[in-house]
Amino acid sequence: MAKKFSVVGKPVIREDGIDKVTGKAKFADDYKFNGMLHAVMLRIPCAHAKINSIDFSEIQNDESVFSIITNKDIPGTKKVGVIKNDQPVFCNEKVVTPGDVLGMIVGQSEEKLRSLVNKIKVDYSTLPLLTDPQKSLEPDAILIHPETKSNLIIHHPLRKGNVEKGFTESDHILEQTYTTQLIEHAYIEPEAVSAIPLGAGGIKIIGSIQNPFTTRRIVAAVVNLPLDKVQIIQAHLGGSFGGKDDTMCILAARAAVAALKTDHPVKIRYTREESILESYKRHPYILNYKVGFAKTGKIKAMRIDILADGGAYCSMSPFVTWRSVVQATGPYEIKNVHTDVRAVYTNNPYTGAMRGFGSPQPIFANESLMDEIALRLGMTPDEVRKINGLKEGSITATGQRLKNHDVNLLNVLSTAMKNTDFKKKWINNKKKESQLGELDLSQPVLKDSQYMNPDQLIKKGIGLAISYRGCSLGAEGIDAAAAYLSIQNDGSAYLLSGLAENGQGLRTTFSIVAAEVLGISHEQIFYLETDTSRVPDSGPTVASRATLMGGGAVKNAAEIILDRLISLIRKEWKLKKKDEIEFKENKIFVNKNKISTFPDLCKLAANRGVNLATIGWYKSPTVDWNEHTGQGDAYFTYVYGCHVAEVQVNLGTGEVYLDRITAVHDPGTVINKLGAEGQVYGGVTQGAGYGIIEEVTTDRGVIREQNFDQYLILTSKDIGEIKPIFIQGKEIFGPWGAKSLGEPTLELTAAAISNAVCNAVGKRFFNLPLNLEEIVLGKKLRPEEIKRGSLQ
Amino acid sequence: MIEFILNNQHINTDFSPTTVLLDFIRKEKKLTGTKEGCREGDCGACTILLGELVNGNVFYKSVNSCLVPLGDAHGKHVVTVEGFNQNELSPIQAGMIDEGGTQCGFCTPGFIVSMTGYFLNNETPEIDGAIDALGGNICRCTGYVGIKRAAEHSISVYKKTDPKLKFMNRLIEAGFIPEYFNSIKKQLAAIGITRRKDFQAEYLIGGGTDLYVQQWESLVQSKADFTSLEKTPYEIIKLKDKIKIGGATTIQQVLNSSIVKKYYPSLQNNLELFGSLPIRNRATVAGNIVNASPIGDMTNILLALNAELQLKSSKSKRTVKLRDFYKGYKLLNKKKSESIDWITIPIPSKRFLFNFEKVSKRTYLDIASVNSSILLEEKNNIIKSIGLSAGGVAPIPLYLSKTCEFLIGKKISAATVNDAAEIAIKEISPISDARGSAEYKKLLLRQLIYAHFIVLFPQVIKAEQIV
Repeated sequence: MAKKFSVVGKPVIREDGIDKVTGKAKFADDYKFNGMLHAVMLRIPCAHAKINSIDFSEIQNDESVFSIITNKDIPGTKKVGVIKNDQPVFCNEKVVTPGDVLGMIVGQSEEKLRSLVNKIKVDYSTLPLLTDPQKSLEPDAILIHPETKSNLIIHHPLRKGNVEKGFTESDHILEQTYTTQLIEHAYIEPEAVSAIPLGAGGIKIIGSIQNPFTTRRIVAAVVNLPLDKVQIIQAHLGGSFGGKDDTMCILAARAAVAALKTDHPVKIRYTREESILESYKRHPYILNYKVGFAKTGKIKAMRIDILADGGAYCSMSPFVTWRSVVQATGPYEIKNVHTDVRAVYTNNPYTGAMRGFGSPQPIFANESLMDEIALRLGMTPDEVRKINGLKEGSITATGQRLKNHDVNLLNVLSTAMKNTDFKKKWINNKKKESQLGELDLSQPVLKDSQYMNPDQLIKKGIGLAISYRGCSLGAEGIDAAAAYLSIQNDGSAYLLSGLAENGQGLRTTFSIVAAEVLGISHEQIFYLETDTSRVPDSGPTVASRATLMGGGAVKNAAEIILDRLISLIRKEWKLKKKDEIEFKENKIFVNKNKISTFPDLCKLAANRGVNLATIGWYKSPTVDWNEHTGQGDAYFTYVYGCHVAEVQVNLGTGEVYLDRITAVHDPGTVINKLGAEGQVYGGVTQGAGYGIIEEVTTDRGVIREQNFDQYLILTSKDIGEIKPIFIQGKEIFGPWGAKSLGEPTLELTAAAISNAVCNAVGKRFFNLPLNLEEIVLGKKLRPEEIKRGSLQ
Repeated sequence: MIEFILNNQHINTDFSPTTVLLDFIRKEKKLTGTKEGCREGDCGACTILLGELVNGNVFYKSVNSCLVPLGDAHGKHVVTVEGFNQNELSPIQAGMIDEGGTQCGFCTPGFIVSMTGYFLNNETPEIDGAIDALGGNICRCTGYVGIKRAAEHSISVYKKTDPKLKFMNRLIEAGFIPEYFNSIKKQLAAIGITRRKDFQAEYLIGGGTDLYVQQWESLVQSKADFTSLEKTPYEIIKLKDKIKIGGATTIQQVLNSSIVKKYYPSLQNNLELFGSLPIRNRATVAGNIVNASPIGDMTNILLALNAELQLKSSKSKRTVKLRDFYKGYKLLNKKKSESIDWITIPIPSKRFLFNFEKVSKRTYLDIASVNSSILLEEKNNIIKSIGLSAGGVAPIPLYLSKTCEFLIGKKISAATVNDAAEIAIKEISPISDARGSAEYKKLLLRQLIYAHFIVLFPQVIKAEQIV
């Protein structure tokens, strides 16, 4: 029987809400320290160059310059990275991308330093540029990091069955190429961090940091201190979406180097332009799909070749592309699969973790492909998905049998369709689309003769996309998390997890979990400041793993304390084994009779010397992976989602209007309804921006869109209704079966929109984003050499 | 000395008047609720209210404090998010929490300021208007759903207040603003707007909404002064046969003007596509003209309306047609000593028809890829006079003189429109830039010219006949 919850699943408001609406919440740039200095970066406007010399003579005697920091001032590791140490803290030999920093000048006035930094003379020789990822692996390609001997960052193969055999057994073969664009996280808060030297040779860092423990590891290596001498405190974080990891580690390390050298607190704060210039992005992918299928719609074989532009540094590319290789077929049971995913170095801005993490790109491709299969066979989009979709006991592309949880893929699909009257709308729109006559797919949407018929100008479309997503880190690495819980004598409690609040509402979710176990109100729990010195390393706050892993740890901590309290009660009240104890509404009941309040019980526990503080721990079940065959149980469990997009397209101008997005997700048990819906609204809006307007373009490796006048995200007026629906499938892991939601909400929207646009105009698009020119002309303002999808 | 009220605090400062107000608020006054997100008026995290005493009442406008020079705060009430804080949360603050309108919280203060600004300007608030007022604030976490619900919640709270109370007291009673707002009128009157006599300005700044984006570092060092303190008029007057718009009039004033609405009713909707409310609250008509952006929306409209500029310097006054004002990319028929005093547009006859079209990558808060305006007089289906302009397709805000010449005297028909579009395409010289490729812009202008005629003559032009 399903457990009846007191707090779990209800809409609960944020514990940090009041500070945020009154302007009192302190973000990284809001901190100021006595004697604080600022550091300003030195860069050159070039994507690939050898540095011959740096001449500081014009500024070094300027009274505004307190200190000059370069590579020579680094006491420890000079190159860092979250996976591979290939990114210099300060470049002293060459730059490989325009965000690279050569050194810093430090002083009291940030404004003065910014005017002075241009007076530093850098003598450099430009090197040939490599901006086309497709040329990275050619034998004569220039090497971005010559010591690696190749521009290949990683290659993930996956081999299942025999694709050639599968193709020969197929009635139809379809081959398409898709491309996706470079994407900026666009957190509204630019990066900021302060480093404060501590008396005993240690250092304290306060900043806009997504993953305090990763930052600690990197700072400690750079300043050559043991981990315990580096204390990382997370300020209120103004958005991250995966983006304040590597960049913040390196900024924290630079601030730490300067703070230790000058013995002053040192702050680095980025302008929006610097933030976009230096921070990493979401990978652009080039995806080639070949699929063979029977007349019945059954997919026989799929061959996938994906190339990811990793940019100048490795960053998270190996893990991002690993998720891609696992999920590249989409949520379909296919007997024969042959997948290769490669990430390569170029001189472009480097790419790493971003909400979605290697899933939005293949989903755009495989969900476009599924619709195309449906069209070829005269089916509706759901029919072909139902035939191939994963079900209980299905074997995934990696050879994993799905078990131990509700495989709700087809359930989310049918729920979404029912809620949107999908089939009827889809068929109607498709009929109207044929009024345009036979479209030549290689031509712009409208021929000259078709322009300006107002009846045909605005077309309606509906489209869907479905996905499955592995929860947490999977075979990326060790997956465990900790939580500290300490109950006070009056029944109030301190709680702290090793995972970090990124704005998503994790503190509230964790408070709910602890409150539910102890039968108290989440308002009795005080969530402590995230500080690496107070709680064990819990890995990074990534992969939509916080509720599942961190929540598991909080639940474990609360249950440890609950057990101690139950032992105390049994002893004090001399209870028998069969007596039932219940913690509810801040009170304790034995066989439904109230015996104490929670605060009184805590007081009693204190008097009896019972320890009411503990560290909870949650370790994921093991997974396994064969990196040569791409076979294994990649993740210990999965979540399922379906988005339906309803759009209108102006054929004359290329404008796409988003009328409604219906988002059906199975995240397992929902812990906080308000927070969960918030994840859907935000994820869908980001996903929609990915679909229609967002794009970072580069010119000779230099980003063109360096502020929000050109890097456009949707405003409140640019998106219509968003309708979240949750199907809470059963799950054996996580707190009461709660799994993942943050990333699934984003990964589907662009694919659903693209299918909807196709339903409206009868033409398929192969390149994200579907902006004005893509719709009207099938073109984009891009460097010539960048490959575009099919039909080009 | 610059003197103003900051929340509930009287400020006297000898900081340079060109200091960015945002920096003064954050660094000097340590009011860190106001955030810096882009420093160019595109994110709204630094939104504040500027209250100004006009005819004995304080009127509040939301503005981007990153684009406001400190000197322009003189004699005004500057309100940051902290200025709304009371013992209890305001309905907007509470709504933002209860409805999930805040996640990471960085954009939240800006939204709260914009929303409160909306309530201060609307005695009968409704949801669409409230959402319009948030068009200058972007959020990356919430998808805006919780924020829109917070606005709905706030409207319902406001509607429960006693309608017999004075407007400000209704807002105070419901907790939207603290009680001290009632004392601001007196305090501002005491400050008055006195010109600083000790100061010799090198040049004049209008709203600064583009200038402070392009070159705030050098502006901060410069000796600039502000149209609002100068004698540049900021009002809209109707004369017998023309409308006079003061150079320092903001775009939002034009949008709200009953005079403009009477003769050009569609302009209100058209101008809502101009920047965002905080930008329209600052950007001036003269500033938009002098800035000479080939894609400026206001300039594009004024070209079609055949506006005339009255230029003045200390020594002289003269009049020049806007259509003759642009000599090349950012080259003006204007001496350095001259400033635009008035912009006049003729009042159209009853037979005049007007239409404005704009296409941009993002519908709201974006610069156009191409825009176009048309003003046309017809009699018996014959075009008597016409003004047609196109933005984003030449180095200057372009008046399509050849196309207009062609159209005069022609019968309104599909064939005429087709021919006109062909001429227009030859008259323009678009370049490929961030807003679109030359090819796309040509296609788009043709499309917008079609759109003008189909919107204006739905009965006459059968779209199927075109091309």
